Amino acid sequence: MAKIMVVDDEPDTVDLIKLVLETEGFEVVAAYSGKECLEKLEVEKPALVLLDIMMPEMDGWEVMHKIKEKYEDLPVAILTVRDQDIDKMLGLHVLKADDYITKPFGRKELVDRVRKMVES
Amino acid sequence: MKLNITQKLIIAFIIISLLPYAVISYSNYSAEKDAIENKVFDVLSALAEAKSTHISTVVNFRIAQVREVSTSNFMQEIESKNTSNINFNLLRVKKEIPEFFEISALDINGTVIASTESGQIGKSHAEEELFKNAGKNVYIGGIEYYDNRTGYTISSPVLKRDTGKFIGVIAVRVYPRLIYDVTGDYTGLGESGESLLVQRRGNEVVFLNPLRHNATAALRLSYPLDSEIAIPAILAAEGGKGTIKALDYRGKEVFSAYTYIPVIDWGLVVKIDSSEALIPVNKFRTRAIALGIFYFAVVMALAYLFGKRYTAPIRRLSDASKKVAKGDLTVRIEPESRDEIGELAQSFDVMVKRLREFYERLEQKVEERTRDLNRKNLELAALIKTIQSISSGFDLNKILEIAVKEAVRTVNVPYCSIVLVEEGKDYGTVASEYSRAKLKPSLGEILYLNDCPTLNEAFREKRYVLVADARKAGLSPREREIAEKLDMRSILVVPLVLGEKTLGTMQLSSLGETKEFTKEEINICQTIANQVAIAIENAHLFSELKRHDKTLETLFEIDRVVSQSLFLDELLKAAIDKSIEVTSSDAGWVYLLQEDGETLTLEASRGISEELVQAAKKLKVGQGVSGLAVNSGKPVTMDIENYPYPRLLPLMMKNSITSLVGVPLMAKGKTIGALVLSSSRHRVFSKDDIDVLSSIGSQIGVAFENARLYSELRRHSETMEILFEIDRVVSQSLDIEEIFREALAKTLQMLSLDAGGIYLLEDETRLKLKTLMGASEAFAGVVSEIPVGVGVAGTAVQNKMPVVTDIDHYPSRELLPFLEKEGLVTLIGVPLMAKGRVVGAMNLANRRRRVFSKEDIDILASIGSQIGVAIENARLYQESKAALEKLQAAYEELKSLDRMKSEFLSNVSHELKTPLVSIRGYGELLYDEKLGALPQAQKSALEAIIRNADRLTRLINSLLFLSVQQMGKPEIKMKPKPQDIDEIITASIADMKVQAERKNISVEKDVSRQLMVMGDKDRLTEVFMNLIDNAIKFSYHGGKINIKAREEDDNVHVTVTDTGIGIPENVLPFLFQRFYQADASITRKYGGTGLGLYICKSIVDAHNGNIWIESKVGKGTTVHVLLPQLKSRAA
Repeated sequence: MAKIMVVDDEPDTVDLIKLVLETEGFEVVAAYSGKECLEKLEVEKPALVLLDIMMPEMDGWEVMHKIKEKYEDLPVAILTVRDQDIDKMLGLHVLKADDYITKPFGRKELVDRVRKMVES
Repeated sequence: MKLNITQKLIIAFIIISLLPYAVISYSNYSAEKDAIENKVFDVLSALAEAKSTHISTVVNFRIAQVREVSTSNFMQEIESKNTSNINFNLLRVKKEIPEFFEISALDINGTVIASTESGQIGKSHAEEELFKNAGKNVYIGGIEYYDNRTGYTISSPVLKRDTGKFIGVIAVRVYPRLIYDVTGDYTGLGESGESLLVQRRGNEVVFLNPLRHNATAALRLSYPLDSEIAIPAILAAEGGKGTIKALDYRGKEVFSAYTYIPVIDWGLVVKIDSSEALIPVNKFRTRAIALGIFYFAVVMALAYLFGKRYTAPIRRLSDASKKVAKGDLTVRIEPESRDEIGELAQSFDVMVKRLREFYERLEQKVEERTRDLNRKNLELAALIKTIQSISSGFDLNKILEIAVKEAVRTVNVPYCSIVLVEEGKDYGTVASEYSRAKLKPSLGEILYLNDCPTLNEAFREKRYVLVADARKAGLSPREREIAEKLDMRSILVVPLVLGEKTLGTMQLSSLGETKEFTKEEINICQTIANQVAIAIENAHLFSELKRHDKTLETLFEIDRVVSQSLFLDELLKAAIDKSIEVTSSDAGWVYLLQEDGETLTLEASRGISEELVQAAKKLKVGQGVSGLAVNSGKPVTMDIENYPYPRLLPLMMKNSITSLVGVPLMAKGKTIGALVLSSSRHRVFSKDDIDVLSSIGSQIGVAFENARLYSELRRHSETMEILFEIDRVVSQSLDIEEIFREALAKTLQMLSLDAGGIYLLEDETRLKLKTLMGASEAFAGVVSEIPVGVGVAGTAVQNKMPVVTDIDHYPSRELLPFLEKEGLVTLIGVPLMAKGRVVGAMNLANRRRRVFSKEDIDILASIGSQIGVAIENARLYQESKAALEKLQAAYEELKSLDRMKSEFLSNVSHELKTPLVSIRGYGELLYDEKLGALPQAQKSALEAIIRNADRLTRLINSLLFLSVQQMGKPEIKMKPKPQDIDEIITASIADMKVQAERKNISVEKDVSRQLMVMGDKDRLTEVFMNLIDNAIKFSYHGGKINIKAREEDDNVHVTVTDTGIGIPENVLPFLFQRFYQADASITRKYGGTGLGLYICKSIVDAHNGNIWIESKVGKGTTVHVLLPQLKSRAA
């Protein structure tokens, strides 16, 4: 099954997503900061990155930008508590994220959307 | 295909000679072929007959042998069954006749009782043909295999010798050696011939003997009766007899004869391959073809030789005529024969010869004509040159010089002269002369027309006169004298005619010998003469024009000078100089009339002594030339003798003034002075001179007027400049001190004043000094504060108008000593006015006396108003600035507070939401039993947890919206580009797909193609995403959303229609307000910020579009978006 990297500074959130996705059979790699994410990408080569926006030091936008610079075809979905239109616009249309999922998320919704992205 | 005559001849030969040969050969060949075929058939028939007879004989012989055995003694013992004896005898017979390879004796029951093959004994043949048919007679069976041997059976009855009673049968298997010998004999059958034995068995024809081409054919080869091949075999087997050319069993064509051998029911075929049989025919054909080729070759050779022999001359003729056609006339053909072709060649030669002669003549003629033409061309060129040089110049002497030279050159005579006769005169002058010989020139000589009748005739009659030989002609004595002087012989005289007038004559003549003037030469001379006439006229006109031109030029020059110089002195001097130059005078001066209308003052002069200038400084009208000119308003000319003003006379004489001319100077119809010129010679100033001077006079007048206007204008513009400068200064700054300083400095500078100060009205009674310039500190101390009504400033404030005075009339005694101490003589007070009120005063002062005109005072008033307004503005500004700063500080504080609040809210919502993620997420994992099965009660509890987590999320979201509420109208930043509306709608639908699927809502799109709008893709996508989001949000599960886009007038009309809950009519107007949701409970139920439609409207507005909503509660909602359509360039 596909490998998914979850990037979030909140360990509880990472654990939750890991649990949710692993029960559905995905392999999940965790990164607790943008920096860690960028370091691990080279080794792990995930099929999808689930990226939080509000993180200390390097925020999600910056991480996104750096990922897209290096791995143009790697799908990145934003997973954030920010649910304002302006953020969605920024994520989907400006930074061209592949999906924008708001937290708290519905379990099924997350699984469905992840599956869709991994399959396409 | 194009053939030449030789080829045609050859083809004809071939056709004529080869055709009969081909016909004959072919018929021979056919006959031969038939004959050979018949012969082959005959041979084959004979062979077939012989072979069938032979085979019949063999068979009959065998039958006879069997019959003999059957009647032999030992066979009688069948009855007694003495088998051993029979056996013994049968073996003996077999030994005697080796072809009988099996002999058996059968009893009356058909049982073999004795046999050469012991294996046969005891076998019954009762049911076989050989027994059944042998009951009465001999039976012959067909060829079959017996123990791997081919053989046929002969059986014969055995009868009791005495009674003739049937006691048994003898059956013999015969090896058909003799028969095969017959069929294997190929004598007469060449290399490929064969004999076949065949027999019909059922529907097949079976081959019975080994064949030449197929050794194992016997009994193995068979063909159906309807086979396409093996035709002769089938015919033979069917009992036929004859010959045929057909395909044999191998499929090869053969000649064959077939027959039937009745005794054994066999067919016989004798055949030979047609290829072999026809070898003789083919040989014949080959021979015929070889012969044909040989014949063809011979005919070709003959045809070629004949063709060449007969066509060569024709070809030569043809080649020759081609050469002739190309222009080679040296061609000649030697006649080779005396036949018609020879004659043709001869006449061709004659023809070419004639042609050659004709061409030679023609060439000669052409050459002559070319020479002629060239000469004429040269002449013409010369003539044209002559005419050009004649008519392009205006210098008469030069023209005449060229004319005579060219006439001599063109007509090729040694002498030419031109005599010009002035209009109305009866004599002419030799104006130009040219000769190749050295002659005593007669240039300038006068010829009386009456003395020269020849010349006179040409002159009067306007036609040329030709004297063939002067020695012989009857010339007048004068003419003779001239002619003899130069030894003129043939003389041509042509008149110089111009319209009705004759201007003179041109003479050409030969010297020493006669010459015939050709018609052409005469024509040329006449042409030159005509041109000369025109040129003379032109020269006249030109010199006249030049005179006119000179006058015009002068006028223009003066005009230029006077309009350039706006300073009267300069102007007058320039005008005098010019006038002196134009009229060739020695001195000149100008008087101007003073305002009293009586006094004239000398303004400018040239060429007269200072003494005279001083003496003549002032005149009364009527005195002197100027006085007269001014008085009469007309030009005056006089000599010094008539000078009317005795006082100046001696000085005039001293300045050698002899003649005088004076013209009045006029401006706007009025006399303003006079211009006078003088000459040291006695001379008459011509009418032209006076005209020129009059023009100059009026020019000076105009210039005078101009100068006045200019100085006025300059003053005006200076005023404007001051006002402008001050305005610039006071409006540039709001610092009132600076305004005072700048305004005062500018005013002083502009008006060239020495000192000044500005006072402001402190209250109703006192003025306070704000700035002072050009005066001492001590003075500043004295005047730092003055009451209203004191000094010029006080007075100006009191009177609300400028005050100008000098120290003598200063209104306030108390300040007088200080003013005197400062040396201030002229003093001015200007009130500073703003909005009709006096706000202060400006003081100005000068250390020299100065008069201020009314205009000056008006300017001062304007300056006062300017400064007043500036002061007012500055004061207002100062007042408002303080308030503004306070406001600014408050605003900044508010802004930072607001920012803090927004940040705080944003952070709080993040912090609040993060734990919610875990609560809700784990809750759901548990609820969905992903971590193990749960009892229903626990599931219900978890469901409540999840639901309340959701509720808390929404609550936090609302909190965030409050922070957003601080935003103003969103600034829509756009990157407008042509957009296809279909693309945008498709993208929006794709983005909202998940949400729609979650509620099982179908989203349908119905969009016309090629609807283009100018806009920002992301922004427009946001609009439609929002609308679709709303439609999903407010639709029931399983609902339907329809998005339609159509062209409507010049707009694109998009509708998003849902089948949702609908919106009450009374809230429709408020939908596009910020944070509005139709029902507060809706937010709780459906979520959303209430900002969506507000943002949509902002974006649509920014696109110059329109958005509105139609809705019915319970039925659904339609959102309309109208965007201006971008028409494609092609449309």
